Amino acid sequence: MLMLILSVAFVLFVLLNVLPLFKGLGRWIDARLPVFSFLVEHLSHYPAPKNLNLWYVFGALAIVACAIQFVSGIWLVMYYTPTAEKAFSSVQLIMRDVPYGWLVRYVHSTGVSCWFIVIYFHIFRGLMYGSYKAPRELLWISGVTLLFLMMAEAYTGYVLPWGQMSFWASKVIISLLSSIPVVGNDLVVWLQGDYEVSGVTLHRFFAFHVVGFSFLILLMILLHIIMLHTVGSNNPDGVDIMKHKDRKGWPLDAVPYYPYFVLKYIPIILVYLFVFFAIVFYAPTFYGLFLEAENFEPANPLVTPAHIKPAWYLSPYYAILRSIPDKSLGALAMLLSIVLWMFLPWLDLSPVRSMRYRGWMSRCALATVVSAFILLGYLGLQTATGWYLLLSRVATFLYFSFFVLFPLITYYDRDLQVPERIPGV
Amino acid sequence: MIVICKFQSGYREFDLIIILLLLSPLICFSVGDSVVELDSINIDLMNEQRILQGGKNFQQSCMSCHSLNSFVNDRVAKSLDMTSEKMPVWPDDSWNGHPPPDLSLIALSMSPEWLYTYLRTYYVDADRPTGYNNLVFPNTNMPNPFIDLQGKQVLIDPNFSPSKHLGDHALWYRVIKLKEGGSLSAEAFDDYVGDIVHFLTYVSDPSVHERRSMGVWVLGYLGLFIVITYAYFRLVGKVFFKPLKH
Repeated sequence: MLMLILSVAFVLFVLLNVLPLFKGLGRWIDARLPVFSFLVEHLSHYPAPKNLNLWYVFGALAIVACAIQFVSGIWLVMYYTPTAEKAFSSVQLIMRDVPYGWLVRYVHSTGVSCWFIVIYFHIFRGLMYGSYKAPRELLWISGVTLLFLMMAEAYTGYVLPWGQMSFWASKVIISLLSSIPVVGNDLVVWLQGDYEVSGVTLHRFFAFHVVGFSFLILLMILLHIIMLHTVGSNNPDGVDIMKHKDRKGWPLDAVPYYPYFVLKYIPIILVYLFVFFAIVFYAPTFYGLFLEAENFEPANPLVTPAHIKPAWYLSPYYAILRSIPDKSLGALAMLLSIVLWMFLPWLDLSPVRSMRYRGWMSRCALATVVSAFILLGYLGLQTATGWYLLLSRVATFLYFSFFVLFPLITYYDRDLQVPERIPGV
Repeated sequence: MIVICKFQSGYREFDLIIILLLLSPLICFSVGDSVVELDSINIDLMNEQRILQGGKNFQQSCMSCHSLNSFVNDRVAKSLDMTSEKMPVWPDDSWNGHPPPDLSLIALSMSPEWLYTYLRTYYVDADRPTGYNNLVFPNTNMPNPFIDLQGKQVLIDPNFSPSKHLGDHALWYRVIKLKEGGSLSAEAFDDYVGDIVHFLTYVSDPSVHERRSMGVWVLGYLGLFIVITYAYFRLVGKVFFKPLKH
């Protein structure tokens, strides 16, 4: 499908450019629907700082990953049946009897994990180079919202195969909502459509997954890109390139995004696809991390699994939830562990953006919160007992102490002088 | 601390990726607590002969109770004449509420190693209604299917109790020994069970042959593209990307 769209686009591109007749047609269309001038405006007239490095490819990769999920998702919906009786066996129907159904399903299941890997690197890039600082606060908030929406999308999608872990993980997460005061219990019943997690819940989650959250994600990606193209890209040095422009108004330290960065990133996107398809074809369950063993067992409301765990990309938040002894407070902490990131632009009091010009304290703070997050991700997949529980409490403490200490650290840290222009090598 | 040092020396952010990769083995994969260490088995899914033999063994030893309902449309199922009519059907309340499960996905929900060890570690236990207990899956409901083929295994230490030794990861042949041989020798029996495990591993994901042969082409295509683009960039990149030098 993608190939078809691409080849049609290519043929159109050739026709519209080579033949003067069609060039006229192109102008005719553009006067009525400015699709070509839009592309020119946002690709070849978009000033990208010339020192963008490989960390900046993850934004483009996130769009590739998103497209993969949408295309493979459409094909899965054609054969999937969202009822408690048929869901599990319809997935097996896709895997075994639908021609290339296994490919579409493995692409979708590998795609979500790879999307989260890309997104976590993308977020880390933003933290490292201070991309959340003014004037990019709303851009950052839209990104955190996107992470939230992606988690909701991934969670509702995880329920759909209706395996043991789908069922029990959905039960655990839905039960968290009952700790909301006053409306909690009614909200749970409304979401479940039943007094227990049942086939009705599955059908609702199917609707949320396929239509609800996926369209919100598309909308939010659009807003994210509009905001990016309004305020411009940050860069590894955190230098404001808009300060120095030539007579035509083009920033002196910028090059057009197309062709320079589009071409520079093409081999990297190919490498990403290579790794992605290597997993799809040769290790689709990725040693039980991308497709968990427990979920190959059909959902059974009568048998609780010994050890309920979330998918790996949600495990840090789950570890935070479990590390707090009280359920309501745990749910609150889990929510705050994401919402607090939205306030980061105002928690950071440093005058410089990039970690390249920050003192050792800010760097330690970033290294600590990232290590705590990775550690929580590991602990979220283990049973919460003994040392693991103690360790997850320490990690949760470190994680939240970041938000408390970061204003102080960035205020007192000894930063370096940021150059006016992007420095030479 | 390594992270910070690398940060300061020359801004080499890509070192961070390497550190993250070094951390990644931390994400290891927990295997359920069992009394004994699981035997390793080298599953070769390209060995069609073993899969077919395993299918025959399965029909002989397992299919009187266990179904493979998702598998019946597969090419191998057709050649073994496994049809949906031949699959056993159990009401939910049979076997005291524990009817024999369908095994279409058992090698993915457990693991080939688990199956291979589980099927060979039955031992005589008079306390169990079936007369046999299991080291990998203590107090299993499944009766020992291999009494005739394997013979009788007994505990070396009669006071051994699985519940006391949970998580010990002992070697199973240090815990039980063969008392009376069956119709197969120990090696032949290992092969017999190994064939079944091969078969069940194939059954749990029959896409494997198609995946592997298709993967070569897709990865080769992408790899070729990577080489071409890389070579192109090496050749013209220095001139083309001159504006990016800073």
